[in-house]
Amino acid sequence: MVGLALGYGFSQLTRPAAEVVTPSGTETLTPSQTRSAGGPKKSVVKIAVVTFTTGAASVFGVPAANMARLMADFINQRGGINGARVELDIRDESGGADQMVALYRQLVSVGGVDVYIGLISSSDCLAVAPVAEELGTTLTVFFDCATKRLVDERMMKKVVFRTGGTTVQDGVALAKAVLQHKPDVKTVVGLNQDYAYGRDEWEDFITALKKLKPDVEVLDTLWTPLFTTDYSAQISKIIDLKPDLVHTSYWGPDLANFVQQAAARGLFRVTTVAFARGESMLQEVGAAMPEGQIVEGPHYFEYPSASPLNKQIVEEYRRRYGIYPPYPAYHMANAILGVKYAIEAASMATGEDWPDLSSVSKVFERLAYLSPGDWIIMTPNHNAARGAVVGITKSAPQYNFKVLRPYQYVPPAEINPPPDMTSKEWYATW
Amino acid sequence: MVGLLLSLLLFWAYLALLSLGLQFIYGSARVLNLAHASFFVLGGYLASYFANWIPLAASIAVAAAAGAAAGALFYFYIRWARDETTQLFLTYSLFWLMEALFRTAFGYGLYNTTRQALALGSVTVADQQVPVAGLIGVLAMLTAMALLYLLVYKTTFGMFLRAAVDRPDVAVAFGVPVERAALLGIALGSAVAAFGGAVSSMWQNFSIGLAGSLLVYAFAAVAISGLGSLFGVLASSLIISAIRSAAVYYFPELEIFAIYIAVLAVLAVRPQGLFVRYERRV
Repeated sequence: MVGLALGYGFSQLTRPAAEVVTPSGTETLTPSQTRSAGGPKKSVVKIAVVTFTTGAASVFGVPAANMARLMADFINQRGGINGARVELDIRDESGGADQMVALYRQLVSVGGVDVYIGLISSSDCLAVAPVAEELGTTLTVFFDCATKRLVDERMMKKVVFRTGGTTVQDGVALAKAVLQHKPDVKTVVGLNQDYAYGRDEWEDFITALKKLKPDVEVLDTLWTPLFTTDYSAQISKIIDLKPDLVHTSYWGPDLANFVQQAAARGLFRVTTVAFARGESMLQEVGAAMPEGQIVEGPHYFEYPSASPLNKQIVEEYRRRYGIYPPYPAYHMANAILGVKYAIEAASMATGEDWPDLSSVSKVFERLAYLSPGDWIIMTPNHNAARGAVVGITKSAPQYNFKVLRPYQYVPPAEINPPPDMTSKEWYATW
Repeated sequence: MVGLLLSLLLFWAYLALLSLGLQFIYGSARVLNLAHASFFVLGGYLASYFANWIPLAASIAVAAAAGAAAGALFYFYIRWARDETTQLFLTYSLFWLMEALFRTAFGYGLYNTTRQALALGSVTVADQQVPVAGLIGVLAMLTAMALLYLLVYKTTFGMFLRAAVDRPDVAVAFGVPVERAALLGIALGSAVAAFGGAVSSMWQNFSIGLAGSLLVYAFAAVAISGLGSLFGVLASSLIISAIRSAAVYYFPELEIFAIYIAVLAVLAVRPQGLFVRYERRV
């Protein structure tokens, strides 16, 4: 307690009080006199949305940007965020990590944005997080990037949050689903993109699978450069090896190219593929995706089927953009709604018309709220303890693409390390 | 083993379809086109788009014709460049212009003719399912190669092309229409590039941002072959395909480097490329 008070006092000396937030999660939510008062009521809240609108990753970024537009309208029709109209400033994520840092600085210092939502690429998140924490001026929500380093290395402390999923959640949920669907799986081949995300997805999946079924043997691990267009050599090798299961975390055009080429070569006749992020391309791949494959989305448009909010958003998204929202779109909805509820709950808790950043952060780190695709449960390490939907591909008469029948929801408690443990420490306790 | 050979064959055809036009345009007009892959991508987009209404073969023909037209426009654009540096700047600008054009015209989605290609079915060879679309790809590549060879070495037009490139001043003196030869050469090369993209749409998706990554492969093939040689690029595509398939089979960790190591090795030993008989000096 003494340490906490000392730390608080010291940081008040070195920084403006409005930016001080303790990340410990040990304090209660009562309004405190030591914090500076919040501002007057705002009429407009400007949200920067940074995602890929050019380049090969725009297959991901554009559906997310579209959801941002839809959610902004949706929120504005219902009184905005704490009475303030949402205005979006949508920017392109292309250009690499250094450019994203520069863009972040520009947006929050001269761009006049109140909230920053963004980033698909893990390397972009890893570069922006320390800068955002150091500046400490702007509520920053990573809506998609899946790197576990953000939590394992406690990189989100004060103003940075992530409402999307991680590779740990993907890997553990998928491993569990694989063992339910194919309990006697013995041999596995990994086929992933040769960069941090692909390597993390594979590592988390195979670690979980081997913990759950130690006699699983890895026949080979294949790595392909990002945005490869020809998989004939990998497909030939997998067909020769005939593993019980292939794991891939391919996404975007790579996923579509692989599925189409693998279907033409008959790969799915000799093995089953577990797709860590397969949901995102189900609609694009269409008939080429065979039945009986294990597909995970962190989100899936039919889940939760009983949620009126999900029904409403899915219908509106489809009316506007012609497709069912893929998971990057759901991830965007999670982020925007998180911002809305954190600000409104902080305003209620503090009684201030417009709560200051430190109150918003305190509320956000223990917020649970309903988003179209799921309940989003935030944790003191600023990460969402997300669940995941995993299902088996099947044709359905009313859809021109494969849907997941059956699908299951793997709840957060089963696939998230406790907030005070790194993923590595958590795996060691299994 | 059959699987290895099959992957080698399919990737060879793909790579050759990708680089043939680049090589032909350099060989017939001395233009090194940094926007080459964009013409390939244009063909892929157009074939996928038209295949929604007309048969696949017809949509591939439409894409090739559009490629020829775009190539003719490209000729008038690149005529502004009087030296090689300007040429690089102009073609690099064109690369970005076409990227913006694709974004406006086709949006962010994935374009392919996989549905039609899967409907073509497959044949079984030694337990391997060989897609008919892949065989058509190999055939299309070999046919394009044969036609270009006949054109360059067995026709008067081909003679004009070679004369205009080797000794433009002498060619003009002999009444060779040098400018028109270059126009037709570039249009034809662009048509081959678009044709390659159209055929490839049977197994790959076309989307924003693709041209940049494809250009690397095309340049690797041309660098190993040496500039200008048609058969050279056929052989270098085969070499790259063999190296890559072998890497995936025996050293999967090396796949990402394999092609670049091959290019570096060739550049170190024979900077002019493996299949250029003499280094051309002006």
